[in-house]
Amino acid sequence: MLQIRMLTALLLVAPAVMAQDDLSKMFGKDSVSRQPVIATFKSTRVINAQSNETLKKGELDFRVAHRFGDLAGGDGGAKTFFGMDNSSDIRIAFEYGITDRLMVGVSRAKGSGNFSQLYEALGKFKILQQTTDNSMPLGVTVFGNAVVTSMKSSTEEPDASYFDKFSSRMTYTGQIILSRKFGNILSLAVLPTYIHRNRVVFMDQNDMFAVGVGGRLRFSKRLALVVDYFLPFREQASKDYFEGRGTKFYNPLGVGLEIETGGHVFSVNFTNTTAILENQFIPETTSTWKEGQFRWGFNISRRFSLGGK
Amino acid sequence: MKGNRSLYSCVFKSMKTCNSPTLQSMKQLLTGLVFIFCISCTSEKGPAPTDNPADCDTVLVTSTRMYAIIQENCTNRTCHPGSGSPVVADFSTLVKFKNYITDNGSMFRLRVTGPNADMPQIMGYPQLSRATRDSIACWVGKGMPD
Repeated sequence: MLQIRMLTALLLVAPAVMAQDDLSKMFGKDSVSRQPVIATFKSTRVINAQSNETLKKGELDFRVAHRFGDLAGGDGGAKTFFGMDNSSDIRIAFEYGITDRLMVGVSRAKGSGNFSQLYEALGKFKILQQTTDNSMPLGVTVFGNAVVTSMKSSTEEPDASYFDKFSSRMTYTGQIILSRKFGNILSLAVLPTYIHRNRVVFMDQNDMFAVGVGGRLRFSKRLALVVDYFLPFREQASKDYFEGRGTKFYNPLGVGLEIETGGHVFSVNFTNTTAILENQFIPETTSTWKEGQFRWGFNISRRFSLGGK
Repeated sequence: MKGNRSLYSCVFKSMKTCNSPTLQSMKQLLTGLVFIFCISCTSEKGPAPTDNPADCDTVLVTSTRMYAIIQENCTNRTCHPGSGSPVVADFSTLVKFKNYITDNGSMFRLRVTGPNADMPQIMGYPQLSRATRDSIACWVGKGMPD
């Protein structure tokens, strides 16, 4: 347990130390020819997944993300205006760039899944940047968050929302984002991810690893197709147990259109996840594209400069 | 702790304006967050749910009782009243509630009576107890008797 705590803490903070040395070596002597590749993604998120991007120093990003109800299936269709009458999750966030490579943020999400009423603190650090001369072929960014729910506790101990102490309310994400921009058209990211939930129901997993992939295909200066997908590694015994009790887990997939309009980045997307935060949509997605359980969603990002260099 | 302190110093020394009050505050904030994370990380699992939680022969399963539960936990808010969201799950009358279950049995089971039921979902109210969910399941299983 101690090792896991230390590992995750190091994942959140320590790489910054190495990054300083690496960047000094990379850019110090030959900074003209080794320019960092910029705008691999246009926003700090692809759809559900994080991108490699961080905010610039002094930049405040006000973000709103919304996921509607099922577009089709039993709860969708014309009677709910294809899910528009319902909301499965809403997230409002303020994120701030402390340096050009380190950002922090806080958010409030409605939550969808075992927990609702979520408060999130997050940090993201760009360790390495891809360079134009390919001396560094990949960008490496780390992301971490801690999420707490303020919902009332269930009175039943087997329930996920039974909180006998404060720590039972907390979940965490640690993530490494490996990214590469191929020319001016295509950007890809791979996201090895670790989720820790302090308290879970019987036969669920406190620790879960997942791998995500994200991509951005640019159509024009302001328009791009964005896609992301996560493969959570849930133990077979856990899958079997929950399937036996009527719950099947699915892998989150999001597809969207990203539109950049000045200070705004607006993405309209479809995804089978009901939740927005990694802590929920990676381990707890129980809706599937195949049964029409996918939904409209949007991410809006509005950036304000609060200082500058 | 001393090691941690030097670690953060390294991180923040790399910032050109390391001594600014804002960054000092951020440094303290980050240190605090990492500390809170380290001490608050636990790994617990809930106990196994009872396999036969409710004896449907003895549980009181009347429409009056069930609809009272629904009114208290589902329609006394901005949800499920018929005028609010979601419109498809309109529980504003007992008849409409029954109709919803008839038409959307699997969805109702998944979100209300199943093992991972997540309703009621918002507004800060506690989840329904497992015994209550099982009682509702018994009522549905018996054909929603009056």
